[in-house]
Amino acid sequence: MMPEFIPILGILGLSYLSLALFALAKFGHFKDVFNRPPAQWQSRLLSLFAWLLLMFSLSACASDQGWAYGSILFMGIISLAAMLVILTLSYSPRHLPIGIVTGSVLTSSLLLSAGL
Amino acid sequence: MKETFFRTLSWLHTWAGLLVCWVLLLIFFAGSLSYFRHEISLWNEPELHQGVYQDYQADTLANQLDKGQDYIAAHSPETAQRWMINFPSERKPFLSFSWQLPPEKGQRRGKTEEHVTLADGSGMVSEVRGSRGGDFFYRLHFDLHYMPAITARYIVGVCTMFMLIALISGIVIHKRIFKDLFSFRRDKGVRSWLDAHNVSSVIALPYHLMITYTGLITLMLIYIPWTVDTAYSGDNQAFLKELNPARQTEKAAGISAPQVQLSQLLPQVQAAWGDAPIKQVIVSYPKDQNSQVTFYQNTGKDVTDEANILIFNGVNGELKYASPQEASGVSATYDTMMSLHTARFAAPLLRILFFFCGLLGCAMVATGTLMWAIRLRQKQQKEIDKGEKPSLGLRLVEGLNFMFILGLPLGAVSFFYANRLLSTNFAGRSEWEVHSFFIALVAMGVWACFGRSRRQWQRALILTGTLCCALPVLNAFTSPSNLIDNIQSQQWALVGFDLLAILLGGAMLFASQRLTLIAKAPAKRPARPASNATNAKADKARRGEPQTSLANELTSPSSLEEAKS
Repeated sequence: MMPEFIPILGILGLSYLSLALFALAKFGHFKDVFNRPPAQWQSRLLSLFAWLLLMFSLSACASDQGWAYGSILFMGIISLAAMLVILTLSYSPRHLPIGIVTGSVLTSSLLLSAGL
Repeated sequence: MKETFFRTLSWLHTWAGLLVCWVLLLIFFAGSLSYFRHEISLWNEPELHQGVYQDYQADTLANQLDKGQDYIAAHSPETAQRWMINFPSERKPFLSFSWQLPPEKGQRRGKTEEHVTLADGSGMVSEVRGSRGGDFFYRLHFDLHYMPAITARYIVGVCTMFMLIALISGIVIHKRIFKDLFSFRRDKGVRSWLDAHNVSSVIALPYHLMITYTGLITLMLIYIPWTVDTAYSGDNQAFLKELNPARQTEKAAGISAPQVQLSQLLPQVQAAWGDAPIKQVIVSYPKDQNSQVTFYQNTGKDVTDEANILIFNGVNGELKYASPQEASGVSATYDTMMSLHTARFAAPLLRILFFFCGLLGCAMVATGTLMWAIRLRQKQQKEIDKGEKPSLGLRLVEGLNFMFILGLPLGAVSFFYANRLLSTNFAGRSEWEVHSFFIALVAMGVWACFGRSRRQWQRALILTGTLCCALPVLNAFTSPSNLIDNIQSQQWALVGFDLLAILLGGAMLFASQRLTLIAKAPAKRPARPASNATNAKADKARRGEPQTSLANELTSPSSLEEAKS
């Protein structure tokens, strides 16, 4: 039972990262986190990375669980990840970068250990 | 033109949602719980909490089939219409033998009696308390209760249609759907409510659309019967027969014949399916000339709701039917939609995510109705400040909010308490479990007649939260094993039930705690006479601070959905 959780935790982390970057690409949230407005190129870059990560997260989900099951699972995972991002932004926006850093370290190690 | 368009859709969104919101909340709530239908049923039968757990073992199938067939033949009455042998599966990890009696007068289906084998093979558990378990919540979410099922399904269908309209108009009028995707501004009065409503709707939007639409699809033949009526001249049975030949069992011939030994069919099953696990074997009209034997495959994580079956002649063991491997486009689409709605394929993790999305649905409906109440009160505030009574509409909306948002979780909790506290010999116990759900709901309605202030919300939350948190304690005292034992013996369904109860109960207590904090906070703001007045009526004036307070109850979206669950 346990090993099933590991890749999925990794995918959850990946989706969290992606959605956190999406949030940062928005004017208001960027300002909440960094205390200054984002330059336009920063916003664009953040969105781009966010999209890439989201695609990667979907493909990881599909390769782990198959397209039929994986895509349904992916929908559930991004709903949860979005909730986590919203909670972070609402309760302590300053911690979002910390969340991003720990998230990426955890995610990459989990995904590597799961061989994805 | 554009403005009128948006205003019209806003109007549509408001009324489509509000007219049916409390029924929708009930449907979402019961539907979310029925993702854990089997787990709840298991929890409700503590006789099965010890000694029966076993994994599926492919090498003992023949032995288990023989044992089951002998046991049922020896213990079931001659009139039994079906014999069933249920192999251990992920969600029902035990081997059981059961049989169905002929339906009594006025009933559509006969009663089923189920005996469960002890894992060490030393005997059977035959005395299990009568309880509807998770089936109650499952039925509740489309058959409601205390009314004919067909009427209920029409009501549910109309509500679902309204829900779909509300969803689509909601998407159109939510102009900043992507811009505000992650915005949840706390402590901002109505703004916070709107944010909570948006967040709970948008982040699970694919789920909401899917569950609403497929919900209509599951019962589409009831809602739009005319196509079948026309094509088959009103003969529904003929249609079903053509749609699914396997589902139509032949009627008993009334001539007795020897029953084929089930284990002899096993090589044929394994030839067709290989090592795929078997979920269930059903013998219809045993020992009759027209008897037939159906093997059901455990389809595991395949996204399908269509059973994969093999049907044999029950006398000579000839293969009569095998599920087609290729389905037509239409039936494959229908099957996929059904399976998405029922989520029978979902492994524990995905099941939890489905449940989470279901709770977000509850939150979406509840925040919508709460916002309605606040806006109504704002409109009337001037009159209320002058000492006039709030209008009947406002009192009704606030009362029903109180009743349903707090009454549904309390009802579910009292259902579980009744399950453990009613005597096992009590004849009507399974009905009274169900009654206790509705008694709690009505009790909250009565409570709402006397007071719906912040203070009352807080008390009701503390009551429900405490009862919910105490469920594991109740379980420890009224079943053979407690939480720690279950972790040690890896009975994850029972562990999950207890943990979820603690989590949800804790969230309700947290929400009530937030209400206290807010209650103390308003001193900083210029106090309105209404909010400082001690009498309960004035206290109900949920505007200004009080309104913020309720917004704060929903501050953490999680506590919100929990409060609803």
